[in-house]
Amino acid sequence: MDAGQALSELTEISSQIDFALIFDARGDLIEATLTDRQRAESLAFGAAALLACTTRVAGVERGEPIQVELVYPEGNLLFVRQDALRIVALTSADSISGLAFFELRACLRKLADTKPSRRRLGTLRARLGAWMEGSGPAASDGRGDSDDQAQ
Amino acid sequence: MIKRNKLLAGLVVAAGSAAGALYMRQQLQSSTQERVGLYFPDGTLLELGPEDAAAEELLKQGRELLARVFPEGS
Repeated sequence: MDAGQALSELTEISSQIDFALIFDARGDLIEATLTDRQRAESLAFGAAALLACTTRVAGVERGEPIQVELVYPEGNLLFVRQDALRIVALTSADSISGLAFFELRACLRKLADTKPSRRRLGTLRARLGAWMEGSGPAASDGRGDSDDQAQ
Repeated sequence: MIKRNKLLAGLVVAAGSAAGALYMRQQLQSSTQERVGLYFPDGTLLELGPEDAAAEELLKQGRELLARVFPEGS
């Protein structure tokens, strides 16, 4: 499942989410429900900076929080960190934060779960590409053996 | 005697209603009040109110993020 699919499933399931976007630790945008890409990129960068500030607030001994909730009368900004991925979402003011956090985490987990199979697919594609370029099955076998030995 | 008991019961109900209304009002105010919640891997929660300088800074940053999405403050 790709990030776009995960986000569209998220907004389909949860009507309380106004917008959501997935980004990495550096603040690079991966995917967003916002149509304006430039705005989404700016938001992702700002969200990463905000998460960095939460670590400073929490102190070194507590480390980086896995979830952050900013409550405003108009709505809540929720942040979830899962490995290298982060997601930020705006929910309605009357939403249940616990439920929204669960859904955001589930969304990131879907992406994390699909990563290994993607890697395997990428390796297979690379091997097939090398084989198609004319190195032939013998060379391909040799490369495969060296990979296996390396592992 | 019965009249007195009824009056007493009425007073108890009125006082209970007033206390309940006050409690609900406080709950409503606290739920709509700006605050920050930080959840840690060990299951602990650090909750900061707007009076906290660190929370104020985070809330300000959050508002700036929202302003990027909704420039007119909608």
